[in-house]
Amino acid sequence: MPPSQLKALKTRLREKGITAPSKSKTQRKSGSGHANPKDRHTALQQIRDDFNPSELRHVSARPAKFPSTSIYNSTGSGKYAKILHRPGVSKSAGEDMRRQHLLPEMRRRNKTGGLIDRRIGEGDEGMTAEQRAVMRFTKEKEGRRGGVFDLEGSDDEGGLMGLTHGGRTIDELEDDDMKGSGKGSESEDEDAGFLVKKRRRDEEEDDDVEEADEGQPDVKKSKKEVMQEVIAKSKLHKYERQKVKEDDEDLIDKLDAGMADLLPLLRSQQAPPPPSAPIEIQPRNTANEAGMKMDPERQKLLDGMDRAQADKDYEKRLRELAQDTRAKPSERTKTAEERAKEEAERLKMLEERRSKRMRGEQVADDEEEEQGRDVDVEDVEENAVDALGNEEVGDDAEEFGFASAGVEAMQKTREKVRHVDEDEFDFDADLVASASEAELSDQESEADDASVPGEIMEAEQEQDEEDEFVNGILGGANATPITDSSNTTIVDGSGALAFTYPCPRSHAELLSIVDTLPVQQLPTIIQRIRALYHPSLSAANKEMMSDFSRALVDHLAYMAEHNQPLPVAEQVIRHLHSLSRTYAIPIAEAFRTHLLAWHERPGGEPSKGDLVVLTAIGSIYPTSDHFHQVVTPATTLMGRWLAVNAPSPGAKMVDERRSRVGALMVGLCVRWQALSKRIVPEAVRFTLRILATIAVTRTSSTEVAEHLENLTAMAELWKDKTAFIEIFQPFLPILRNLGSTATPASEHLTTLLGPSRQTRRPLLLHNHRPQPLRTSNPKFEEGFNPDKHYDPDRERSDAAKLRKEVNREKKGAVRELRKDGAFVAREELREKRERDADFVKRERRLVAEIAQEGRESQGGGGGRARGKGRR
Amino acid sequence: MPGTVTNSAVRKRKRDDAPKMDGTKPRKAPKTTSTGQSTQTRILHLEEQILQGREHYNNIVELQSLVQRYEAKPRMATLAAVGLCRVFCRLIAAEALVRTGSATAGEAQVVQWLKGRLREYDESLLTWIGSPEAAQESTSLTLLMRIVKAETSQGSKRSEQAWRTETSTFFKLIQALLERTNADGARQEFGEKYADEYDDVRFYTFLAVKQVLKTSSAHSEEIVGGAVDLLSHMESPPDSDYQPQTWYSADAPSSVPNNPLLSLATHRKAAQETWLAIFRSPLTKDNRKRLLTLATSQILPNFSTRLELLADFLTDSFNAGGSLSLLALNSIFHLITHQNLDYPEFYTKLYSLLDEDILHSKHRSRFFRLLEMFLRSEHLPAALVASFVKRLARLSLQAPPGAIVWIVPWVYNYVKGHPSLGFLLHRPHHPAHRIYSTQSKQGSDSATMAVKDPFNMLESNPNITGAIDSSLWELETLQSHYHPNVATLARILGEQFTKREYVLEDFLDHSYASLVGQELGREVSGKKGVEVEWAIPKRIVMEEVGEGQELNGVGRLLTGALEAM
Repeated sequence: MPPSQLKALKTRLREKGITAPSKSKTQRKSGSGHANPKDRHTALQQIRDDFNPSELRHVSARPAKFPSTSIYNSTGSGKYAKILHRPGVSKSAGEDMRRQHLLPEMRRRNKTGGLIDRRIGEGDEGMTAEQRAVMRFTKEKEGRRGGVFDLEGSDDEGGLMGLTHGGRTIDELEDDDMKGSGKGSESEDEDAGFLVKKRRRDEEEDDDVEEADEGQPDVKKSKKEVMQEVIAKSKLHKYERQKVKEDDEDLIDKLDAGMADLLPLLRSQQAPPPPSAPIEIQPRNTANEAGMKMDPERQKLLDGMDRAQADKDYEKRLRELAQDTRAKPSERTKTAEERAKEEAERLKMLEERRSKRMRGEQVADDEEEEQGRDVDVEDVEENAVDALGNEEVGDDAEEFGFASAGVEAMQKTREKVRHVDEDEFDFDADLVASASEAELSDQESEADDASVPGEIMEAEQEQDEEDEFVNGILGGANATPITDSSNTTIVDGSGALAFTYPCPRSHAELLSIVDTLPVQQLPTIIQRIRALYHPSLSAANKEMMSDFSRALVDHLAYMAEHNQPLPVAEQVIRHLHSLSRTYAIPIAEAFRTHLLAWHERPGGEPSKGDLVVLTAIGSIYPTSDHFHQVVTPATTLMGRWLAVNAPSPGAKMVDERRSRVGALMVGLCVRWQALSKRIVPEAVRFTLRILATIAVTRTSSTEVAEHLENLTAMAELWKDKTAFIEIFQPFLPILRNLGSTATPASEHLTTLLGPSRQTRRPLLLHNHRPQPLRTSNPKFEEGFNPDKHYDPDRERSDAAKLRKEVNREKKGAVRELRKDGAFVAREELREKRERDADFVKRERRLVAEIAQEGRESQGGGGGRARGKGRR
Repeated sequence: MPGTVTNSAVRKRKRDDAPKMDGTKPRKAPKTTSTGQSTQTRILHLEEQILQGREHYNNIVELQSLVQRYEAKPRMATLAAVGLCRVFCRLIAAEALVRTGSATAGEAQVVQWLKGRLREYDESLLTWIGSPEAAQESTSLTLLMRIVKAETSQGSKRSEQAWRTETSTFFKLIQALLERTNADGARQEFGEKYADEYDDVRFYTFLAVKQVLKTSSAHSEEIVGGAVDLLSHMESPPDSDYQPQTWYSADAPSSVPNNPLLSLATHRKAAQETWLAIFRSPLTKDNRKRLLTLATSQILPNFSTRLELLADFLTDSFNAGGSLSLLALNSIFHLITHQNLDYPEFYTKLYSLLDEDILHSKHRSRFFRLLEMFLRSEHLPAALVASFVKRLARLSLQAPPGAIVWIVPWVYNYVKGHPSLGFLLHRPHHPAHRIYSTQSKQGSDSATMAVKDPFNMLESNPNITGAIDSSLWELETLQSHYHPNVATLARILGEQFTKREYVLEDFLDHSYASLVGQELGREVSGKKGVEVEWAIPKRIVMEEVGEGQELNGVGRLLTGALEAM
């Protein structure tokens, strides 16, 4: 026979250690017991569950799904882990909840008025009783604090100004004196006594000191005590901190003292130390002698130096250190083959990049950087220039291209530069020498070839490049002596040409410099300005030069407007080209501004400046690019002009201006597409129309020659296009009409047309692999879980999820409502029953009373009645 | 003098006016002061007096003289005109301008005199129409229309007369509106304020316009221009289930049963007649263009019976060529699709419109839109569509980018719609294809033989051009167009046709301006930088010839251009 339930329970409780045989006090103090109430709780719950197995329902509300396929349900470890349902518990919880909320509501139904409970936290579901109590307590406390005679409160601010007794604060007295002594005022006494008592009680209950320390001090300790403690603690901390700091400072001082020794070592590579250094060292030495370790900077600071200044100095020093160039191994001199190979590789890479751009593909960034550092074909003396550490000057100058006359002079300079080793002082001297040499050759060349203007130009230009190369450094180092000498030399040669100029930052400023001088001198001036304001000389120069490049673009257009000679413009374009390496964006923007001005001009007619600008664009920018920020708009604008200005079929005369400008534009279009071989329909149309008109009107032969040249170039350019026949067939009858001048062009076309006809095939553009049908459903999944939805359509699956959720919520709500209804009905029934029972009780009492009365009355006056009743 | 007669008549009839005769005295006083304020009060006073009795009718003359001096005193003249308008309106309402049967000779004379004044007043107001001053024009129009309202609100018979007779204010107003070439503002105002608002005004305007066109022979071109302008400002006629219901005149025709004005058919008939009258009169090219733009929206709905006349007009316009034919196309297509018009060789004519200049004309987008609409049907023979495709492709070889940008997706859509056009882009070798079979006789190895384009550009009938057997080399060539966007777009023809169709409307309105403006409007992106040609050329415009230098090709062209400018 199994043991009785009670017995079983008792044993279980004992097993779990919840009820234990009563222990002695010492045992209890040392023993662990069930310190954690949580463990105790779970243990109790477990015992309860064991004894009431019917309260649990192990089965999930969901029916088991596909036990053979589902990897989750069988083990109960997955999404739907096994849940212990306690229907009884949840039911009673629900019932309680309803009783708590629904019942008052039900009772209040159809009633108006009543009391509103304004106590803190009353009617707030989110607060537990405890929180409510805390809130009320704090509120009460706050209300009391404001009292004028609140002694405790005043302690907070007063600190040491608190009450004293016999020169000691009350707190000190508190422990021993206050208890026994009757000296204090009554209230004080009471207060203190109360506190003491309270603390005692605390100690008895729980001798955990820590808790008293950090728990609720306003309950357990007086404010004053707490504050004292805090103050003491903070003082301790402060002291400790100071001590640590002092140690640190000692250490730093030690290091700083060594720093002054170290600095010269670190900067041994640099030029002579800044003038401040010796002054710095001075105090250090004295300090050392005095046996005091003091950082010079710190000393200075103490001496009254501005704090901000000191910071700045420090920053500067730091930056210097960071930017200090490290020693590099010098590059070994390469053999001729190596150089040639390198050159070939570089060219190949450039060409690759170009064709990539032409196809409209992205060019990788690292390549871009490489290209930025690249030097030109004629750059034979690459190493020497690198050694100078002035790459950009060398680059630009070289890439300008040196022709025969100046090469020797340049070669000499180069050789000298190359022989120089890393030493700075040698270097400077050498440069001065080379400068004078350059000037000498300048004189020579000018004296020699003064008769031929083109030669002068060339010679000058070459010298300028050299000048730029040289002056770039001299201008920075020691400009004055050189300026004098060069001034004199040039005055001899070609009139007053100053050596230094303020950097022109707008076109107006540039004009003010250039206007008075002969046009031929312009490249020289540009050269000098570029040298004087080379960005390597000053950080501000960079901005100045970018403004100058803009002004130069404007000046290029200006030159064309004022019919200044083309060779000079050519030099300006080449300068712009070399400036574009550094200031690509400002120059491109300036060009685009010109294009925009042309675009927005009413009638869309280009000015002379625009034509030169177009020429410059074609030379400076890679016109073969698929898309280029300057070239593409320029081509489109030319296309527009050609489309608008193509003469109409019935035109009776040729406008010469239109014809010449058109010839230039077609020519430019053709040249720009020389590599990429893109088609320009407008150019074809214009040439066709203008030739047709010329055939009718018979105008001058030079124009015809230009257009025929263009036509031939176009035919040559596009001979591989599949629509070559369609494009150029219409020209043949017109050329026939033009007569003998056009015969070569006509023959050329005919010869090109022949092979084109022969080779053309019908298009085969769609040799694509057939596209597979898209298969999205069904899809087979690894580890398929039937509970999961594998809908590839994200929207649909989301919608399904949402729908399901709504359904579940709806069901839940309905269930709740139904339960509410049942509860209300039950309550009403209960109330009705109570009422009825009450009524029956009362009725019975009344009846009894009446009967009693009746009896009494009968007994008193009418025994007959009773007798009757009895009967 | 009418003035004397008036006075005597007044004395005879209106005795109760006698005490008010004192009112003449204060009139004298302000007359002496000629400041603006007093003139204004005097005008008001004069006006008041006229309404008081016949003895003051002479004031009309005085006011009229003020009205005519608009140039000198515009404000006074306006005030006087407004005053006179009020006077006449009241007089008309009081039937003072109607000769009753029982009237004496004197009364008849008064009526006659008043009518004369009214006419004079009308005339002076009509001169205001077409004046450069908008306010003056608008005032005169409003005042005249108010008189028209008064005139047409005196019983059905008389108002009918007031609408129709050539001496009525309304008729004269319409005439003035048509004749004055610079009365655009007035015409627009009339159209918007009156003709659109009131059914009867619209109806009678149509009648009057027709009448004016019929009667006037001199300067008829200007008159027709005015008529077209006036009618263009009137909204399109109401829907078929519309019941005319808004009336300008006070006695609405709706009170009379069976009034023809009540049925929409009458309105339409009047409109149709008027349009036909306009078609018959001599038309300048501009007028014709305006008419054609109006055709679908405003003219076509009015034509219910005599469509063939409209069709004739449209055909004439179409045959005129140029932009006119373009404009006529739309209406013709509308007639074909909606009114079941039999129009032979519509597509042949459409095909003939595809010439070199169409892609450069400013009507390009309009034409493209129509072309798309006409060819949208998938029931059209593929050969016909292929001809259009091939011809446009051929033309695009000399077209501006704006046109190519439309043509390429258009071709895409049609290749997608007519699968047999796919051969234009992809024609693998097969002896059944004509392009191969024509050549196979000559050579033994047909795969390597040259092929001849079967497409005949000169053939005018789009059904037999042979385009369906050709290949679109032109569009393939355009894949290397100079403009990157165009080139990229042209490449879609060589890729898989995965997109269902392109929305052509998005490609329509591109032009040089938009292409350049779009690019130049953007900032130069500093991130990518600007590519610069790596080699700086030694010479750009010059070249070295022996010892010296000379201009090279570019240099020669540039110098030539600079010299010519």
